[in-house]
Amino acid sequence: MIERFLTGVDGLDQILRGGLLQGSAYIVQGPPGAGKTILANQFCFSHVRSGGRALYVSLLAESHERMLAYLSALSFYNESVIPQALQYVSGYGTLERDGLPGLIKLMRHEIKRHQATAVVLDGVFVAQSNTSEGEFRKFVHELQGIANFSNATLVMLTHQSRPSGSPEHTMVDGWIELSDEVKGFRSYRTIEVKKHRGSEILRGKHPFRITGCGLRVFPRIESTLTGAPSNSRVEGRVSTGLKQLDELTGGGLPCSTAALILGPTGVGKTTFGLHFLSEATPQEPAVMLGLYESPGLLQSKARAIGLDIEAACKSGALTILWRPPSENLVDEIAWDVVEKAKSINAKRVFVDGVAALKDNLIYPERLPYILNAMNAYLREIGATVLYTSEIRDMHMPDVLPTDEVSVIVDNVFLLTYLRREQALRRSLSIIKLRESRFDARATEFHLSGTGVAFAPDPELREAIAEGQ
Amino acid sequence: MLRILIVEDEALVALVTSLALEEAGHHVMEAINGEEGLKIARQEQPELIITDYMMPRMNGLEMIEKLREEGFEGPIVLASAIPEANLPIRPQYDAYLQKPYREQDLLGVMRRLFRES
Repeated sequence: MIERFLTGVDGLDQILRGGLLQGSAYIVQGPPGAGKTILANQFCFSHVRSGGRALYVSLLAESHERMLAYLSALSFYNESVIPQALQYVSGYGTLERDGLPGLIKLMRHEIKRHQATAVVLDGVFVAQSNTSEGEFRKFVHELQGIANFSNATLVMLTHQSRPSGSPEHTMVDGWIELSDEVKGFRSYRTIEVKKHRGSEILRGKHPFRITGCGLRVFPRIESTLTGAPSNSRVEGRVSTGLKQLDELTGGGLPCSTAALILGPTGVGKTTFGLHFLSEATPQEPAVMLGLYESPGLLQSKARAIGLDIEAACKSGALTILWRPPSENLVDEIAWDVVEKAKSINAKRVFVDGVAALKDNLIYPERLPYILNAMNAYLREIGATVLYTSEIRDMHMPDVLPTDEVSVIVDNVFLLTYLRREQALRRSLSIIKLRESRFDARATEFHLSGTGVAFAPDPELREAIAEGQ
Repeated sequence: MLRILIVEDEALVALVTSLALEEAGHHVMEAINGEEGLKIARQEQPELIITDYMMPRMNGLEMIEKLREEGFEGPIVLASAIPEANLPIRPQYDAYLQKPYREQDLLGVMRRLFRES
């Protein structure tokens, strides 16, 4: 069993199934500005934090001081470990004067001198640019041999986009590619582990961001589901927060299932969600993901129907994650929800709403898979999930525009408007409810000072009577 | 005119430092690591050594220690990105220059050194 070193980049370690293998050689490839240097340094600092010794050899003209000055703004940077545990040296002069054989000797000498267990060689393309393919192959082979002999993990950085058949790619144990991609006006970063000898990987491209903490990688959440979905389900019912809806559903939502409320704008989807959240307690807390209304707006909306969200947040019964509409990474949002829910052992999760998640997706067809993965992780902790999704039809639609989302949830509620007696009225229909009998009749409701009320709107009745 | 030895593994830092010193009328010699610096210093007995700390083969502090042991008495400037307080050992150097330094910083240190001496 080969020992592994964590890269210090959480999501990447997940993709690598536990980090880099000791004594193995890796190539990290990506265009300038992709984040290779930050990634390599994050690895070095993480490595020395866990007791290892790291060596960073650069073949670039850029000085280490400049690089360290940029890195010092990042949270993983720790000046005190340089140079005792983490050493920066340049191999540029040696390469210029003594060529690849000289560089090999230098690497051997430095790894030994510093007793390095992790080595980064930055700017491998410099070594490759002035030599034949055969010479370069020999260089990579020898370098790999030296690292392996010293039991040090070697990470080589290059900005060259060389084909997968290039000697360095066939020889190394691992190959990680960073990309900066553009779709329409939007640019986004991805990371892909193309090869990892002796280890499983989460295949494909995964989004990442460069933050003040360094690289943050968010594995595509659906790619992390392994094996058959767990069928473990908590028995029983979870109140919807509305007495009459609980009656219509035979006692509320089945425990640890996922429900979807479909409806046009303004019909009351968020209000249903607020009722659902109102049942949360510090012992059985809830998480809300808001993608439209800000927490302030939600609080006043809740206050207007007699619900005190502020107090629930203060008591620990409720945590609100607000992600205003912008170029969000949906995988980041999904992980934020799952991790927050896990950390507080949430029993209720409300996601308002699915359409905004879809709008943020580079590939919208991923949405059902993402929700399915979220459901699986949330089911593991016994949480019951409620999603809202907007539909365009004001009235009963002939076809549910479900985008396959309703397929992956257990329960579906449809809210519609009815036009009757010169007025728009609201109605709720239960479309499906997992393993449950339910009242299939459409039930009229209105939004009152206490929230959702299952009855015709008395004010509307008065207004109509006065008008007549 | 001084005969100055620059011991620096980073090509760009060595280049701009050499250019500045040559422009100021000095004769410059270069070494790309501590081991080479030691060899040139023994042979050439420079009137000033400006050395980096983190270098391959032999670091700047080790080189200074060896030179002093061998009786080299000329002024030595240690230039490093590592704060002086974090240096693991304190061999006998005459001035510390925090990297990245500018031309005036370097020339200022040299003026101070040679005024003192």
